Amino acid sequence: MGSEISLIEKIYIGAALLTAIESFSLCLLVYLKNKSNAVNKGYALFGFFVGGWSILLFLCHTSNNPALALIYNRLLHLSSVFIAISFYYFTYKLLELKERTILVVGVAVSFVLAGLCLTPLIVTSMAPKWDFRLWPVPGILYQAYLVFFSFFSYYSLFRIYQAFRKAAGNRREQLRYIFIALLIGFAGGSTNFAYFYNLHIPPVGNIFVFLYVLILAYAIVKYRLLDIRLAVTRAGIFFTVYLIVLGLPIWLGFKMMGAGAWIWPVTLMGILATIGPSIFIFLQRRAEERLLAEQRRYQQVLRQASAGMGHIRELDRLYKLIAHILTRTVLMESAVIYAYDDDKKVFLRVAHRFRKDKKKDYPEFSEDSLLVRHLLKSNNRIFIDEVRFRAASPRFTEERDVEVLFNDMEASLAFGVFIENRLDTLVVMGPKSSGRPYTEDDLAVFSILTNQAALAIENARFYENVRKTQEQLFRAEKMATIGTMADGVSHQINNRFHAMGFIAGDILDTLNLYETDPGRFKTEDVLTEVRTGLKRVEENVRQGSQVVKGLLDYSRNDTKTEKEGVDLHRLLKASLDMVSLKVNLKDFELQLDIPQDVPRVEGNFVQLQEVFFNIIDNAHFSMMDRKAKKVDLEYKPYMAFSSEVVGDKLRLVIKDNGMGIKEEDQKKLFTPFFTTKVSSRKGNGLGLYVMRKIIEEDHGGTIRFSSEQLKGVVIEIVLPILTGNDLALKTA
Amino acid sequence: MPKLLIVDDEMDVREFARNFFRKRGIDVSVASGGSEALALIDKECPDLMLLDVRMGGMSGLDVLRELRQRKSSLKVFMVSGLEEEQVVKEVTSLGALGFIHKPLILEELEKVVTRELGMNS
Repeated sequence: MGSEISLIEKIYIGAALLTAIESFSLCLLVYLKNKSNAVNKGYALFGFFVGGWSILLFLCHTSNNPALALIYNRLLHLSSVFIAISFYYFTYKLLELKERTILVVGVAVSFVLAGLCLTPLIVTSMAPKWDFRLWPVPGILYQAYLVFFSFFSYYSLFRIYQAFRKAAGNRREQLRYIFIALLIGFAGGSTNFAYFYNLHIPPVGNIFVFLYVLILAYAIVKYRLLDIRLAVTRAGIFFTVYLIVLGLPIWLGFKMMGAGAWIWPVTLMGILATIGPSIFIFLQRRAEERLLAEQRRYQQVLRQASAGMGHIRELDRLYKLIAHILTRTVLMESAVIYAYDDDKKVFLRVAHRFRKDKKKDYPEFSEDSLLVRHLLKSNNRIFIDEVRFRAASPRFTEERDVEVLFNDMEASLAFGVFIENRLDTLVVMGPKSSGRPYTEDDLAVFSILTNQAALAIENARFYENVRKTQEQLFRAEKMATIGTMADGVSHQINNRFHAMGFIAGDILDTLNLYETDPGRFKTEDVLTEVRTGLKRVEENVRQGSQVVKGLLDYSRNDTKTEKEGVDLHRLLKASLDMVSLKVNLKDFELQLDIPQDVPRVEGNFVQLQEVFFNIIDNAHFSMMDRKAKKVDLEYKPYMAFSSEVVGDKLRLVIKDNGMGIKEEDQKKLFTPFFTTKVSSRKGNGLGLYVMRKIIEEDHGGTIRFSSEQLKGVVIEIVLPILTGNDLALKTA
Repeated sequence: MPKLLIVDDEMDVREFARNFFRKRGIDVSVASGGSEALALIDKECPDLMLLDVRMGGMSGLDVLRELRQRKSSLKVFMVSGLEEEQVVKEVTSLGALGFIHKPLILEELEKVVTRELGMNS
């Protein structure tokens, strides 16, 4: 070869390199910035093949070896087959075309053609041609390649043009630039074809192919094409700088030395120089991650701690969480939490976490124990390393004892949590699992954690107190209700004694008379009377014990609120039994419209009994009030219960025709201690408050009141139906 | 034969009291409630009534008030547990002879009844 290189070939080669670099850059950028977008992927594919084609063009025409040039050339034809089909794929995705068949056939044909490109059927050999030292000689199937390439390139362009005509706004601008960019690209590239048909039109158009990338880049920035607007700035600067930094020396090299072997080391240098900064940044980030991992974990732990602890209202769970968070901060052998017990006046172990099975048992520390005393003295923190350091000096005798204690406990660190200036909680931690000492950073984090823990404990304790107070209040309310039954209960019991007194007295009398005057009675009659009497005594005992049992059941302190299947009929009967101890049930008519096979509700019997007791008792009060006020003649008090299954809930409606509730009082119904009853013996205003708590908080149901004065009250209670086999059997 | 009316909503009280006083030669009739008692008073004209204060429906007090209105001269003893002072006063003002407190010893009741019926056992 060795012949002179023409100017046109020089420019041709330079433009090819430029196009390759640009195409690869944009392809990479588009792909990396939005991999998930199908349009971006399509473009990246296209850009990749254009870049490949261009770099091969560059390699082909800078090569002095005709055999090598032939291989490059065949590969560049292969690339150009894929350029056409990937361009169609990009168009297909961009315009959301529905021509799947064309795509599938196109892809299939492209693979066949790509294979043929590696044979002499497309490009036979390389030979000098006009301005070029080497130019490919077309094979017999070159036409097929040309038809395929032209069809998919120009068909896609045509579709983009069509879409551009129809589109509006930003989309229209986007399509305009895509069309112009690719028209320049393909038209420029097409000037290569003249030589193949022996037309002496030099492939000058190819020199302008690089423009397509620039136009697209402009559209990307201006019209948010391909959704990578932000990316352009940083990567754009990077590549522009590199283009100048690396492009200038290469251009100079060409100017001074022409194409030659020097191009290889220079290209390699260019590639490495481009990759270099990325590798540097990658390694730097990795190193930082390593170095900052500890800090990041601390941050995470603290964030987690503040998010988690504040929400917990049960002290037990809170202590466990604190222990958990501590052991998560740094891998440590153990963490044990002791909380002050007001009754026992000692710090009791409330939570612990051990990494291994060694469970050293320190159930409690008294207030004047060495640990507590030393903790208070040493700024609320005992750190074994500090203790050891001091223990070495004969001045600090206590430290020596502390060291022994800590060694014995296998502890490394102890913290105190202060609440209202009082040592409230102790945290004792074992050594780090790694065997390394605790750092100042570790201690600082523990210090923040203990402060957070203090707040959370205070919070949980407050809620616990509220809950206890509330429970006491409810208990008191129930006891007050039971108090109102005292009269009824004593009446019931008294009546049993009264009846039994008559029975016993009469039988004794008969026996006495029979002894003194045996002729007066038949023996059988006496025996019958004795037997009948004793049976009646038994019955009275049974009735009396039922009253007592009912009362005891009712007053049972059910703080656990265990759920069971509650039968409505049994519940109503038990409630009415209790009410009957307080008021006379014959005072009003009772209408029960509840089916015999009503499904059982999920609830706590005694709690629900309290609710129904209150409802019936209130209704009775209200009806008697109306009766006493003689609002209307012929007033007949009645109360009605009905039920209805609604999905997986049971809806109960309870009506009475008592006085009803004044509108201004209705809003205050559930306010604790609100009552319209004059005498505190008749009501303390907690009944409805308790009812709502039981139905809504404890049973997950709802309770609603509606009322009109002088019309009565309608109460609607919705309770969950018991699910599971129990119900299935019942409804089957 | 002296006539005694026992008004009580407890069946056992009615049955065994009747049996007891019958053995004493007393004509005993029983009523389980207030209205039944008033009907029996008209029909049987008893000499003495033992009236339970606390009953479902019409109470003993209601019966006593009714008798007062009818200006009845029937001797009445009220039977009850511990009653409030107010009730005691009303009962006395309505002309009842007194209270018999539950639970009672039958022999004591016998004394009261035979005395009021003018019998000497």
